[in-house]
Amino acid sequence: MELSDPLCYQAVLARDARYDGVFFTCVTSTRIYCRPICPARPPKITNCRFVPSAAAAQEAGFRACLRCRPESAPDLGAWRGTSASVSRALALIEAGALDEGKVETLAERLGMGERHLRRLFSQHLGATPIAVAQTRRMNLAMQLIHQTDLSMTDIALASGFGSLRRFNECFQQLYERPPGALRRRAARMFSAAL
Amino acid sequence: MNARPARCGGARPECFQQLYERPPGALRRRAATAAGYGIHLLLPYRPPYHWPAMLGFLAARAMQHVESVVDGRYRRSIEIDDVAGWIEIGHAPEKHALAVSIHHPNLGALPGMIARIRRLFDLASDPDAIDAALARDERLAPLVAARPGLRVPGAWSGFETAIRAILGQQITVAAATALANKLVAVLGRPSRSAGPFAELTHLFPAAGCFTPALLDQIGMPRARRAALAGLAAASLADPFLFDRKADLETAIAQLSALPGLGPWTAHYIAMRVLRENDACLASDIVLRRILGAQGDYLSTAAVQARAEAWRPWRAYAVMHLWAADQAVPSQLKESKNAPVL
Repeated sequence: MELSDPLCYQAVLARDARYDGVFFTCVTSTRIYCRPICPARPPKITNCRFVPSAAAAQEAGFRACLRCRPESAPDLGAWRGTSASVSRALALIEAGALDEGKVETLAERLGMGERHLRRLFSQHLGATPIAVAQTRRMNLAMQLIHQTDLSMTDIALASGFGSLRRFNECFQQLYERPPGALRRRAARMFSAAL
Repeated sequence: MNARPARCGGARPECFQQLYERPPGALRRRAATAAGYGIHLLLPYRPPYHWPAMLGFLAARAMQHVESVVDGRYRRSIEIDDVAGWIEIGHAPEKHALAVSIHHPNLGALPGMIARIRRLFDLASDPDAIDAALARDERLAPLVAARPGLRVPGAWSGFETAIRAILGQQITVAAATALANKLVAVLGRPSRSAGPFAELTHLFPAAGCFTPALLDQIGMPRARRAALAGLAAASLADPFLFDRKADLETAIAQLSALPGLGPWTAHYIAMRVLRENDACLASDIVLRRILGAQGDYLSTAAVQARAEAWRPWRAYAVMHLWAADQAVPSQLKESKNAPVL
């Protein structure tokens, strides 16, 4: 699907579910990124940057919106269709190829050089392979924070972070608060809505 | 493991109940069970999703003691790093998601297990694009209208589904499932610990279990037994055997090089295990029958030619035709001209 800024903005105004998972809106004034269906008031078009993946948004320093929760968008990762190599790489990353392994090893497994793989990722997803793997871990962690009662230590392990320290660092950096605060916030928001 | 703190303002019990869908006491009890047991998650998909067809496909092929379909949910035993576990998958249509329960003590394996469930249930597909493309074909248009959002069932385990593909060569789904039940009875291993689902007591046999002596106990032609043993050996030798290849042609060439794997089996494995959207089972007897006119079977070459219009979604076209055939009462399928296999 060819995406242009005006088309994406129309989708945002209409909260068009057909674009959910196809692109994300980075809001430069708030440093937050959203799904096209976000219930929040639409930002001005001048404050919008449209990216083809959650990883592209997070790599550029945007954090996931706590209202539309980009981690619960349908994940069409392997479906870009434009590049078989990117689809194969995404399937391997999804299965954990970069949780411990290196990009170089992943590229080798795909029968290509590391630079070529990086170039394909940048072209199709607007993000590096490492950022894609990192975003996947953060998004799974967010799902576990919201949907389960696992402890933060268990969530760090279950979302593919090597350690609790690494998990806390990543959340602190992106959300400017520890992961536990997000769960409390989610609980508060929920009770406020009752 | 700490129970999730209740931060609901006045801490009304009904508030807690709504938030966690269980009373506070249950939460504490759950926290006391082994870490990693019973993780419940929603895995979102892009609507529509034709859940009855997916569930029906899995139910028709469910192996006793390993898989079951109960109350609209699919359950199976799993094995990760030699440790048994169980999964259960149901539909949450109002959330546009599948509701997944994962029971396995190894929390670190969770991302990999989610990836496998997403592949098994084809959660990454874009039904708008596929349905629009297939609806342009006049034979498929009514089928697409009848089953919008039909998915291609994938595989939990590449090895298991490839073995099942060999068992399914040239026989009906029911006969192939009976053979698979026998395979589990002879080669399958009881799971050492009791799981949450009483009916799931066994694990599908690992590749190392496919020894000639054990295979001899299952009534099957010699060539079929050799194919099973060959696939088991190949999967032990190459851990990447069921990785997606550069393209469909490469995958078919590599799979066809294994003993006893013809084009039908290779394409079946490509379709379900490698998730090749354009895999095409042109020699499939059901396709040849239903695409033929008035009880005449179409030739494989003719099916192949017909399927050109369905690229690059031939696997989805195959699923539509199979699903449509399943919906027809069997006495209407009688044909005088069934070819001898």
